[in-house]
Amino acid sequence: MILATGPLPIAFDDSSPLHPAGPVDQHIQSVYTPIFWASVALFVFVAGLIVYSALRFRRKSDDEEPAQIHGNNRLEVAWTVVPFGILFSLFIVTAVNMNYITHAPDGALKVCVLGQRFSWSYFYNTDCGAAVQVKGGENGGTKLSYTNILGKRAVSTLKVPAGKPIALEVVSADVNHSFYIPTLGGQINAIPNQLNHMWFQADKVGKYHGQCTELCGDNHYAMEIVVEAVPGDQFQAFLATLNNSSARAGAGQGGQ
Amino acid sequence: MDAALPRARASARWDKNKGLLSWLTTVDHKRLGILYMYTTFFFFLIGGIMALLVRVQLAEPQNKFLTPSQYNQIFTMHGTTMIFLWIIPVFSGFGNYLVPLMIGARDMAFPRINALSYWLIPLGGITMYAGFLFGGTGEAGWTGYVPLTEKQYNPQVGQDLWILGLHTLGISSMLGGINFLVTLHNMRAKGMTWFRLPLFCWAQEVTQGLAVLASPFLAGALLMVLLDRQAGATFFAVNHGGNALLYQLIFWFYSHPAVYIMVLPAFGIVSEVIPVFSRKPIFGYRAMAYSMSAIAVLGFIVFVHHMFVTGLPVYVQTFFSATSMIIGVPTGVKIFNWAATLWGGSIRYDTPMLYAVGFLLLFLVGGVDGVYLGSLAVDYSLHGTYWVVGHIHYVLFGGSVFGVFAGIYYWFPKMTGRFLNEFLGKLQFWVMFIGMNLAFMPMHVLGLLGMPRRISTYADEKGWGNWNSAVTMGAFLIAASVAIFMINFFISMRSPKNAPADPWEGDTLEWATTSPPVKHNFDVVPEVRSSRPVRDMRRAARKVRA
Repeated sequence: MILATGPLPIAFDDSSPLHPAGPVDQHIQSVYTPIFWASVALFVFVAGLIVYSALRFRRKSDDEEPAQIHGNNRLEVAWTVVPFGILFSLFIVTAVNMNYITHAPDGALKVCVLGQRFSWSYFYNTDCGAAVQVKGGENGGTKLSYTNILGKRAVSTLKVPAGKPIALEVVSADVNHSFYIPTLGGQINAIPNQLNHMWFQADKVGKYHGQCTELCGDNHYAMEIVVEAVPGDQFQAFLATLNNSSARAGAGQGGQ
Repeated sequence: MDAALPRARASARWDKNKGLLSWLTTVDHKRLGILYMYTTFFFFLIGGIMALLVRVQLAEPQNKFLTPSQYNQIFTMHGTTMIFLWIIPVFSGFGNYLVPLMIGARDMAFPRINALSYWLIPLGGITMYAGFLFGGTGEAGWTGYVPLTEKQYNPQVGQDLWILGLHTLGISSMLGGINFLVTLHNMRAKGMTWFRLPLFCWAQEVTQGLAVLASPFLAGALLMVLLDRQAGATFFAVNHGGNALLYQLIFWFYSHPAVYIMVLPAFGIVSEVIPVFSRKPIFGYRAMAYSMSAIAVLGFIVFVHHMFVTGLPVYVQTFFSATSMIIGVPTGVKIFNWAATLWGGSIRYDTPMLYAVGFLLLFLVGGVDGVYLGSLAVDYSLHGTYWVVGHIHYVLFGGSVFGVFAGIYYWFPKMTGRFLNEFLGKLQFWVMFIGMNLAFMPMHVLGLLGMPRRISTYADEKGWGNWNSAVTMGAFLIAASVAIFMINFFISMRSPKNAPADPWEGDTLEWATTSPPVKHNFDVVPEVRSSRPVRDMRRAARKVRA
C-alpha cells in the first residue's frame, strides 16, 4: 500500500490527495504513482550523471587540454527520443484516465455549489444553471439574487450519501474561487457566469476537508470546505428536513 | 598569452567621461548594462524583504504578524518585483553589457532607445511601490486575475498603480527587445555567422523575440483591466456581459512565454560558463540553439496548463497537457548536452562554475516536478497548492537566480577590472544552495498535504506548521547568502584592478578587449573564424611563440 498511497517516507495526514477517499482521487493517484517513479528514475539518472562528471573530471594540471568533442549525433538522438517516449507514455497514462475523472456517472446526485466571498453554499434539487443567468445587482445584491433564483435553503456543509457518486455544478457569485477537496477528487474553479462541473464519491462515512485554492481577497485563507458523508438513510432524512424547512421559510430568505 | 590579444588603446578623451551626470545621461551600452544591474539588484533586495515578511507570517499557524490585507499586498509585490523588476530586467542588463561585446559591435543599434528602456524600469518600479503611500498596493497576486482586480473588489488606487507600473515595464521590455533583435541581426562582426554566435547571444535572440511577440498581450490585458476600472468598460464585468475567463487566456498567452523570457538567458549564461571551465566546446552547439528555439515556439502552445481547473473542455485541456509534457524534451536535451560538456572535461571550480553546476541540479528538480503539473489528472490535485510555489522557485531561483550569480562571478572581472573574492563566493554558494533547498523542497510536501498557495495563515490542526517553519529557516539562509554576496562586493570593489583581459581562458569576443573594456569596445574588431574566436587567438599566439 505504501506504493499506492504515498511513495514519500512522510506521514501524510488525511488532507493529502495521496490518501484517496474515493474513486476519483484514486484515479488521479493511479496517474501520480507512475509519474512519481518515472521522475525519481529520471532525476537519479540525470543528477547522477551530472554529479559523477562534475567530480570525476576535475582539472589535474593546467597544461592539459581534453579532447575537443563537439557532439555525437547518435547520443543526441537517443536523449531526444527516450525522454520523448517517457513523457509521451506519461501523457497517455494521463489521457486514458481523463474521461473517468471528468465525467460523472449517470444517476449521480446533483448538488449546486455557490462560492462567494468567503464561504461556500450548497443547494440540493435545484437548477444551478439558472444561477449563471443572474445579472444585475452588485455585491450583496448579487448574493441575494442568487439565493432567490436558486430558491432552496442553502447549507454550509456539503452533506452527501457515502458510496454514491455526487455531481457538482460549481459557480461563483463574485470573484473566482476554487473548490478543492484533496482526498476526494481534486478541484474546479468557481467562476461567475460560468457553470463548471466536477464529481466525486466518498467511499466511507466521515468528514473530508478542503479549502479555496484561488486567491479571492482578504479572507481567502478562511474559505473552508467541509464534506460530510453520511449513510444513505440519514441523507434522505436530511433532504426531507431541508425541503420541509425551505418550504416553510419560502424562497428569498437568503443563504447562510 | 594576454599580450597576444589586441590591446585596445583608448583615446584618453573617451574615458574621461566621469561623474554622476555622465551616468544619468549615458547612452553607452556598458554603463546602461551596469545601471540595469544595480537597479534590478536593488529591487531584488526589496523583493527579498517582502519574501522574508511573507515567511515570518507563515512560520507558524495562526500568526498575527501581518493582517490578511497586508499579507496579500506583500506577496503580490514579492512576486511582481522578483519577476518584472529583477529576473527579466537583470538579464536585459547582462544582455546590454555583453551582446555588443560578444558580437564585436560598438554599441546597441539604438543607444537612446536603450537608455529609454532602462529608465522606464525604475519608473515602473516606483509607480508600483507608490501604492504603499496611497492606502496599499495591488493585492491580487502577480497574476492580477479579474474579477478580483475589478474596482468593486479592489478599489484602492494601488491596484491602478500596479497596472500602470507593470504596463511601463512591459513597454520597456518591448523596446529593449526590438533593440536587441536589430543589434543581433545587423551588427555582428565579420565572420560571425548565426552558428558561430555565442549561445548567450542565441539565448538573448530567442528571449527578446519572445518579449517582442508576447509582451503586447500583457499590455493589452492590463489595459483592458484599467479601462474596466477607470473608464467604465466591461471587458471582464460579468454583470454587464463581460467574461472573467478572457483575462486569463490573454494573460497566460503572455505569461507562459514569459517564464522562458525569465529562464532562457540563464541557459545562455550557463552555456558560456560550463565549456570555459571544462576546457571543452559546448556539446551539441546546434542542438542547443535549436532546442532554445523549440522551447520558444512550444512555449506559445502550453499556456492553458495554467488554466486546467477553469472548466475548459476536456479535449482542449488534454491537448495542452500533451504539449506541456513534450516541452520537457528540448529542456532535457539541454540538460544532457550540459552534462556531456562536463563529461571528459578538465573542470576547474571557480565560483562561476559552482553556480553553473548548482543551476543544472536545481533546474533539473524544477523540470521534473513540473511534469506532475503538466499531467492534467495530477494537476487537478496539485493546482493552486504549494507544489506550484515549490516548482516555480526551483525554476526561477534554482534556475534563473543561480544563472544570474554564475554570470555575476564570471563577468565581474570584465565589468569592473576586479575579481570577486573566491572564498566568500564559495561560501555564498553553499549557504544559498542549502538555503534554497531547505526553503523550496518542503513546499512540495506542503502541496501534497493540500496547502493552498496565497493563504495568509492556517489552522494548527492542518499539520502544516513544521514544514512551514523549515521553509522560513531556508528563506533566512538565502538572505544570509545574499548578505555574504554584498560583503564580497564591497570588499572586492576596494581591491586593486588587477583583472587581465582574459582571466578564465574564455572563448567569446568580450575577452578580446581590456577589463573593463574601453568605451569603444575594440580598437580593431577581430575577424571571427569559429564559434570560439578568443581561443583561436590564444592558439595562434602560442604557435607564433613556439
